Amino acid sequence: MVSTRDGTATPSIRFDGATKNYGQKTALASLTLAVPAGAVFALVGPNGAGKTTAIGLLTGLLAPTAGRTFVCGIDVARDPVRAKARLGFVPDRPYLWPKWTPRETLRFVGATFGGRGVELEKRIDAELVAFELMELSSERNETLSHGTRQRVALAQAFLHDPSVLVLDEPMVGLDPLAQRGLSERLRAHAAKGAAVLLTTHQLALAEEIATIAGLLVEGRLVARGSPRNLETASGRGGALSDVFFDLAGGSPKP
Amino acid sequence: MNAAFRWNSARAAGRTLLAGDARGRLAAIAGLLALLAFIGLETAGLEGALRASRAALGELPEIRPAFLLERLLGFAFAAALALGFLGSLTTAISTLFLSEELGALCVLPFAHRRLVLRQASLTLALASTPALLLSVPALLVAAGASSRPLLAFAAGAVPLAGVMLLAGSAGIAAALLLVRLVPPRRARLLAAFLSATGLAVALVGFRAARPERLLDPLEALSVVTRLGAARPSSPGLDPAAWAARAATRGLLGDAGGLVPAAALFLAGLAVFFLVPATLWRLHLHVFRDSWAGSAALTGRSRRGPEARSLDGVLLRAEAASLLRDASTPAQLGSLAAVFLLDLMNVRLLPGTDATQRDLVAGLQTGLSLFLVSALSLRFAYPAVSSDGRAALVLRTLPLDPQRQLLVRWAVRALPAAGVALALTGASLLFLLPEGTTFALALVAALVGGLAIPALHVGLGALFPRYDAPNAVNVALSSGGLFALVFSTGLSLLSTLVVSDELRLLLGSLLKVRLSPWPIVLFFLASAAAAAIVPMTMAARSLATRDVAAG
Repeated sequence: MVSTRDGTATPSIRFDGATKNYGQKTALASLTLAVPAGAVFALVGPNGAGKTTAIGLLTGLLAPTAGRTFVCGIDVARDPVRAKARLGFVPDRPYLWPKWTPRETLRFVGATFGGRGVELEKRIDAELVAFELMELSSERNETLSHGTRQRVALAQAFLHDPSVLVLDEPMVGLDPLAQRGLSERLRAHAAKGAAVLLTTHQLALAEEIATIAGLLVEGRLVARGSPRNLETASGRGGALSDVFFDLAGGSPKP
Repeated sequence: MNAAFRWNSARAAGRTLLAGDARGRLAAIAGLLALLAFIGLETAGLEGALRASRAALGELPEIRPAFLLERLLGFAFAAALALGFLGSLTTAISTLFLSEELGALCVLPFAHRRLVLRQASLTLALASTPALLLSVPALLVAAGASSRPLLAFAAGAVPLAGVMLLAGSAGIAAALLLVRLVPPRRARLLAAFLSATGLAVALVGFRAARPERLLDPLEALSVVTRLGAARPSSPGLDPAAWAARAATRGLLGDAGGLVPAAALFLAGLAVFFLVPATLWRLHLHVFRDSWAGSAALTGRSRRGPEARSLDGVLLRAEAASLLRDASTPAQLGSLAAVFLLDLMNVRLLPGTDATQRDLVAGLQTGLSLFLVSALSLRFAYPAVSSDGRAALVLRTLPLDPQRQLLVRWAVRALPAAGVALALTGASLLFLLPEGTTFALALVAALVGGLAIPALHVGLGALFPRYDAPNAVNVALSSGGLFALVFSTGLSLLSTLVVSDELRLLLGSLLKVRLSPWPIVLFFLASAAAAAIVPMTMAARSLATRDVAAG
């Protein structure tokens, strides 16, 4: 939680009736949700449930049709630059500037967050080492493999030690070692007081690292709570995977 | 490749042309209309030239039409050969090594030789398109004028196909050997540079041959006599000369000309099939190396300068994106050629006529700004779109879009203004017009050189296309063409700013007196509006508009 001047605690991430319509289609219906500092929140749901739309609204990629989203108490639509200054983001695929190198990418991103000079270079070096990118730091992004680009995307999100970290399917393309390393890094980042919001299709991963989870189905949050005991709106409970298969489409598909 | 693959490819192409959004369809229709207009103009021009030459040759008995035609066709086939070689060299590196579908195709169960043949066929089709576009209307005109139209058409088309097959095969083989020596991306850069330099040298060479001599009847007669009085030498091993001789015989009604034409075509076909048959192992070897090498280390470790200020980082990042574009060196080569050609033209003008110098100073300023418009369409209009899907990350950074747009403009406007000033200034040094004209030309070049890139950056940001495959695709969209029309208007206006003669001419047409200063003020106001309005609207749009998030 972030303490405000009147002493009340403000959640690091807040969706307040956030709604997004595309013409007649509702991609996200009045999502209300709060993620406190120190929590890892896993947003799960079948394809097309509205997870990426929710992330788009939180990161300022999309403008809400109704409702609001907040990062550390700052309204993303009203004060986007201040809100984004507290945010680290990893999109669902590692979109990088193709002609730049990983080091140039990190330097660019770091500078937009106010990093300068030797201090920024030290932080860049630390992230390059942490994500095992140092030897590839002078290659152009367009020549890197998918997994390597994903590590560059992760490094740029962690670079400025964000208060809120938003990751859309962060494990895609990573090898098991890198996946384990990222899980530990996410837990450690949350333990330092940051809020982490991630979407994933890997239910086991969500159950392993998330402290809170939410299940989105057809744009509506239909269950939330501890991954081991998710509560539905009707008061039923159960493990994340049980509730997922119960509410999101019956029996597991082959 | 099987029938399903071909059918899917054809349907995908059809969808691209017909089933896109309204903006895409508009661009496709505009492209088709431009193509039809070009074909119509070429056909009308050739028919006129044919009529005139028939009348003239009747009065010049010493000139043998067959000799003249063979020499002219020899030049045309040689140009097609060179164009085909350079085009297929550049295209083959993309289709054989950098195409995204190669990874998927390589794992399918068919012989690698067939994959190389398929990519070579694609290369040939793409690289032959410019030559075919130019030559098919000419062949149709020639067939229409002949007493045996089918024979005439075949006599032109068959050797042309042979020449294109030979040129394409040579280009594909050269591409394979080039990628054996340097990695594909660098090879493509090198090939594009070679192609642009080759075309630039050809253009400058053509200009240096002083084609304007043909406007002087005596000089023209001398040139035509040299080309048409003596029999062309034996073709030897020159395929362009063989093609010219075969086509000439066929066009003049000799069916025997089809024999060497067919021989040339069959030779071309044999060479075309021989390249994949003999070089597929080389392709597999080089492709595997380059595929594995795409993630391999180069051993370089360059840190680059530290970040001292945000503007500095933004400037360096933008310059890196621009300068590392594969086609930039090639296009700068073409620009240098245009620059040289223009100065060669200006030097031919009589230096004593003040009226003419004033008129040309105005036209040269307009031409400089039109060149800036074309450069801006290619390099400034796609500035925002070339972020690609990295725009998603950019949008989540705490960065003011207006500030970044200004940096994008600065990186493109400074060279653009430099080009406009250099071209206008060099022309003025040759022309030496009076002081006010001189000063106004420089001011117009500077203002236009700064405003036009802003117009293109702004409009490109208002209509971004993050999913476009490359910058050229973005530039040739309907938004890009709209920006070009606008900036061309500004270029035309600059001619009136500079030249008294053009103002007088327009004034007499409109039956009004056009004073210089209101036009100068109108130009400055238009340039300011063209620069500021789109940039401001774009900054607002970039901050608030939805970015598709997947």
